[in-house]
Amino acid sequence: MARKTHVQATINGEQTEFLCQPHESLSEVLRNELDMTGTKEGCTTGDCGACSVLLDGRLVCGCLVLAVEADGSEITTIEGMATGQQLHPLQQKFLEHAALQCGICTPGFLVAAKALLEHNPDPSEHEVRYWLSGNLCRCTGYDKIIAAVLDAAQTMGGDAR
Amino acid sequence: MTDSNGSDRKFKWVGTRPIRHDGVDKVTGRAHYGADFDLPGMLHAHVLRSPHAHARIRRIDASKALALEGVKAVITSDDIPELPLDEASGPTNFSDLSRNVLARDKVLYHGHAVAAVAATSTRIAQEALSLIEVDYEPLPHVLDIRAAMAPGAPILHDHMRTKGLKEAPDEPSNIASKMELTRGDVDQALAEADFVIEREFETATVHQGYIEPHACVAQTNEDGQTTVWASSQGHFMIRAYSARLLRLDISQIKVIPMEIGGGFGGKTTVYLEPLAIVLSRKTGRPVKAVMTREEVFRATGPAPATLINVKFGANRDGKIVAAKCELFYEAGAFPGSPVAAGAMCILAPFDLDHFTIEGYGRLPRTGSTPGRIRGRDGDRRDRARARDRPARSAAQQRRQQGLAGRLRTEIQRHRPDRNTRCTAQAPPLRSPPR
Repeated sequence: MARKTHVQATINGEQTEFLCQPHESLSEVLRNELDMTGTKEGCTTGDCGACSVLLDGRLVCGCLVLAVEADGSEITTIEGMATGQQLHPLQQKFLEHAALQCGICTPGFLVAAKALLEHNPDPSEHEVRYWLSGNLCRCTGYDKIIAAVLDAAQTMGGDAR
Repeated sequence: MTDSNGSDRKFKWVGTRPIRHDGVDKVTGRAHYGADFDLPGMLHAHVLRSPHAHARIRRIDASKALALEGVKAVITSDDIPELPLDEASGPTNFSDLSRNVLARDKVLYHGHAVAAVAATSTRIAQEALSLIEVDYEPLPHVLDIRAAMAPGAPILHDHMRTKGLKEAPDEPSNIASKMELTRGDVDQALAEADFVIEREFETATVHQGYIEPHACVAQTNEDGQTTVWASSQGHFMIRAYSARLLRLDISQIKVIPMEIGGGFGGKTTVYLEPLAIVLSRKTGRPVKAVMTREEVFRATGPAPATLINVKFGANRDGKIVAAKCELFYEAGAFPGSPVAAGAMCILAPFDLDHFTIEGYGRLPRTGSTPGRIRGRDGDRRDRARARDRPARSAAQQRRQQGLAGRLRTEIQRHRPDRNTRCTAQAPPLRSPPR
């Protein structure tokens, strides 16, 4: 076993440090070292999008980022979306539109959708579908998810930026 | 609200949009799924899987793996009870299930579990897998339905005889069972029909593709009581199957269900749970086992591949008068295809005086994936996303379209009055109902 590397990062606004092996991915460290299991692992090959997180504002698959590369970065995960008991409008709209069933893909979709609205607060349906094409859902189909994101965008009225 | 019949009846829930009770936990990431659960002192298990489609296991030597620092236990089929070949209960064949959980004597598909390791980290467990030496004698394999049925095909199970034949066969076969549904005299009705259309349909094996890979944690206390945390489509099933396979009393196992990240019929049996239980009993420590996505595809049960032959006879007035269907369903390495459900449904939309439906089920093959080792044929035949529904629907709808098109052409050819409407209409191709 290689020596562990010390990494410092801001995760959901909190200064965090952890030790990790050079081979460990960001999603492994989030889940196994930091007990932030809201980030899910469906494939660990970057295909399903369940591990979507924001790294310095950029949407990435946590399974494709080496944790050592996160040093000095700012990371947002699903755990950072709600403010206390107040759900993010996207989370609220996912509930209202029944945009989840089993829920394993939901954190990834929400983080990806958050990145979209920060990028483009008033996306077209086409843009939402294109942006979320990196996230797979097997239960609901995608229509309700798309409807929830569009509704959230409207509710937020451009506040996402 | 009032209903559409004009009644002023008030409904409590109909017409409302309740928020699902588990929704907030799921949108905040707080919901715990199979792999989201850890215990202090927990070991990590990984499974060694067969690189061969069909091979005899001559010898397994785990001594080098056991010598690796951090490895606490290695198990093979020697560490689980050998069940008699015919041990079944209702639709479930426990003998097959046991031999799928850990291969005994032979591996039957690429990905078949051969051994399992528990170690202090997933990394060490994976490294240990590469140190287990397995001496295989590769055997000829069959990869599809036609090859499995061909004369002289390599036989997967020497003890298997086709069930449902008029005379019990002496020879082993890859065809596990035959069933037949008939009415009237189909051959005569087809001979008398104005048109006959014949089609062959093939569908591929389709995995359900639930986003959450199989995962569980097992812990055994000093008094021999085991607790399993697992995501599945039935935690009592996990308890009953694991107890049966391991010859434990059912009261020795408690299963706590975690949230399930999709199953679609694919999480209705055990794969990892018995291994984690045995490893936890052997090491005295909690053991976690999580499949990779690759393992899910290689070693868990998808919807069967099918080969469906249909022959329909119709008259010029557009009436379908006879049908003959042959359904061949591939179950994977062990018997258990849902061919009965397919046979019962394939002609369901028709009122026919003459038909035969022959279902050849449970055609094992080697090559990949175990299929579903479990009988309950038809238990979820209306689940759109599960198992054989796509295959059957496709054959049914495409056949109807072919027939309707042919009928239209033929009727128009035989009737100079082109204004006469053809009554044979194909249903629109659409997704199966949810």
